[in-house]
Amino acid sequence: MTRKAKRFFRDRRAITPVLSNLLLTVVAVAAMSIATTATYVITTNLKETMSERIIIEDLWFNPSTGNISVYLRNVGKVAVHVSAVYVNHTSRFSSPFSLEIGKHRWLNISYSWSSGNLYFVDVVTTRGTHVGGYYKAP
Amino acid sequence: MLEAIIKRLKRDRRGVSNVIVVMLSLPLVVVIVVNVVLWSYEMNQFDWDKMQEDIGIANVEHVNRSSWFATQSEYTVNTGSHTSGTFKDTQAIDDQYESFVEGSNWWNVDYSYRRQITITNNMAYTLSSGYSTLLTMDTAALVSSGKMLSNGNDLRIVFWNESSWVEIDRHVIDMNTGSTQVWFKTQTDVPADGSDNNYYVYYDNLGAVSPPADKSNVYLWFDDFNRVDNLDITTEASYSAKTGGGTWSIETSKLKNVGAAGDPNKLIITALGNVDTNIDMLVKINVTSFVSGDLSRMGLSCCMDTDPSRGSGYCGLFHDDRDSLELLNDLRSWGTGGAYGWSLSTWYYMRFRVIDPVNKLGKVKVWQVGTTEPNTWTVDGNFGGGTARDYGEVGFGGSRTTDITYFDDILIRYIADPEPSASLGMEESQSDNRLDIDGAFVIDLSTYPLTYIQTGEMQIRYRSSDASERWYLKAYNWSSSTYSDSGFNSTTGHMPTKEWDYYAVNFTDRWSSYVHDDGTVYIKIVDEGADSNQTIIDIDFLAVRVVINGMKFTFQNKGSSTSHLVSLWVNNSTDHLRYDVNIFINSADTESYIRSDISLPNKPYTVKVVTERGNTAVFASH
Repeated sequence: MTRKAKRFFRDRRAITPVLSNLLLTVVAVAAMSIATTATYVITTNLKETMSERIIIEDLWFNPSTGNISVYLRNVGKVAVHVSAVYVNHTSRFSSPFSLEIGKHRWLNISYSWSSGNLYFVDVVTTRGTHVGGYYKAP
Repeated sequence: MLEAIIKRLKRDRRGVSNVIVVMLSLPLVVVIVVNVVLWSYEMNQFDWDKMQEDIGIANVEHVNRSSWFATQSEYTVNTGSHTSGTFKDTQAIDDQYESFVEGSNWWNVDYSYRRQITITNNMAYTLSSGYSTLLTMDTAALVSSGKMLSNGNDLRIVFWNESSWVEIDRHVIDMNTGSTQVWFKTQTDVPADGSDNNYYVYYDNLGAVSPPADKSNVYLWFDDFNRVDNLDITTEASYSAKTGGGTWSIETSKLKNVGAAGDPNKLIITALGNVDTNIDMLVKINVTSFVSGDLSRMGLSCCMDTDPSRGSGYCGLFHDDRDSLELLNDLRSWGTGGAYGWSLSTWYYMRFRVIDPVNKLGKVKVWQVGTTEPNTWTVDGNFGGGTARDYGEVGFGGSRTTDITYFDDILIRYIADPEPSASLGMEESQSDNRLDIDGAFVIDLSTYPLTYIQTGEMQIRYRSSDASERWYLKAYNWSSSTYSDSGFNSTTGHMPTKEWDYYAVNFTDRWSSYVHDDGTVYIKIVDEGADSNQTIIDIDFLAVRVVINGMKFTFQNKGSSTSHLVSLWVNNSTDHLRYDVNIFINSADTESYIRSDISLPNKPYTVKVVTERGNTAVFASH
């Protein structure tokens, strides 16, 4: 047994193939891990982007406050993060917020609207989903 | 062919590597494609379902009445009887109705008359069951009119326990007089400042014999000693003695005490244990041998304890001479005394009460048997000095010398302060017919919360065979714990024709007294009083509803799938009000939805409803 071991360590020709194989294995595993992670991230992002559905239940040109109040409901299958609101393509947003699945809330927009005018209100999420449209102030 | 490929692969090592790379990459590609494609399919399905959804609002209107709430269980018949039909029957649905006939909830048909007894608790706390209650009535008038036997055998006290009749023992005193005393025990608690009218006195049965008259069942304690002579009554389990040598025996159906040295010299009614409230003790007493002097004493005792030795208590006693009646705190102090001249070998009544043990207050009076009990107490004072006593055992006080005393008919009862009163209702005849039924109705408070109820209404559609009898709708008043029509818009009842009639009453602003917190309303249908006609009542409809100031929405689902409504908006120029809803509407269904918390806004207004999928339906009123 001892003789066999001594012979193994004396035979330099066996070391190089073993090392090269080990190195290749490590490289292959690392490459696959990166590929798998990338796959997961890509598919998750794709799924979440596809799953976003948000609606405006109500839009109120509030005469008492002079603001525009938008009532949002998340009807999609993923939580959304409202990041921007545009009125007539001008950003009118102060603080982003999240809306979990099935949740709903008011979004108050400070904007001095005028009766009879047409406004384009656009609510945007961080994933790029837009919801909105043209609304005429009463 | 395969062999050629394998040979080529063996020769060309680069081909193997390519295959391995492709094989490893394939799952990743498949995962990406499957994940994205399947999820895309699911979201497309979601969007497709949303597109297919077609919800609409057909109508919006003001509503000021809820739907009717009918009973969900059979009526309880208190008087009269049920003849046909069920509570579910109504002509609008099955062309059926439910019928009842008048009758009398009579205890015993051998008795022709009765009067209701109402026991009123005059205390601010509950009068416990088992209290000996006094009813005073004029039996002389009944005897002279032939409605009651002169011996009172047909005077019976009966209790209605809400499901059956229970005849109870009674003790009748001064029968065939204008103020006969009828004692009986209450069968249930009477609430503080409340009353119980489930007791009746029945009479007029010429064949009545052996009424239940066991005074042991009327009072806390009664013993007439009517049993064989016994040289030592303490051999009976109910009695024990604390005596220095005197004897307590039964002789010719009387309790006999021959006194002897010893202090205190007591016969204790051990069967009663410690009596922890005020009592009234009444006994017949007859002293046949009286030495006189301080050791001569006999009478009643209570609040007995073991200090300084067992049998020590408060006493009311003949003492010292045949002209004295005194209060004594055993082995501590003589208390208030009074003068009452009494004779040997003569029967007297002695009544003794301890009113307040802590303040050592008591009363005692004596009067000769066969005479009227005096209204005043012979002695009304205190038990003198020494430590005050608490409630304890009760019994007889015997002489400390060779005096001989007989006792008979010991009677003990609890005394409330003030005592309850018992009053009699109108005389009812067995031939009188009545109908008294009630039922439970439950208002759906999830739709009509108590906060938004303005009042309540009840309506009956019924038919009576007697057009000359008036009928009343009453409801259970949860505050006063009784059926009442107090505060109703009409308390005069309704006299129907012999055709189908409607009768409705409104609870007005007193509605909250009649609607329980869980929405339950008990309704009673009762006639105006007993009469000789046995009226038949057919009930087609009886229900309760509430008055509200709400809105009724009619939704239509014209789509091919079930819609789930989650938001309701009522908007006008001044307000945009949102309400959570949770309504499922099947495909092709129309659903009415009432909200008592939403008032109809001023026109123009818009009503919107939002589905879980994100679709919106709008109703505009201009």
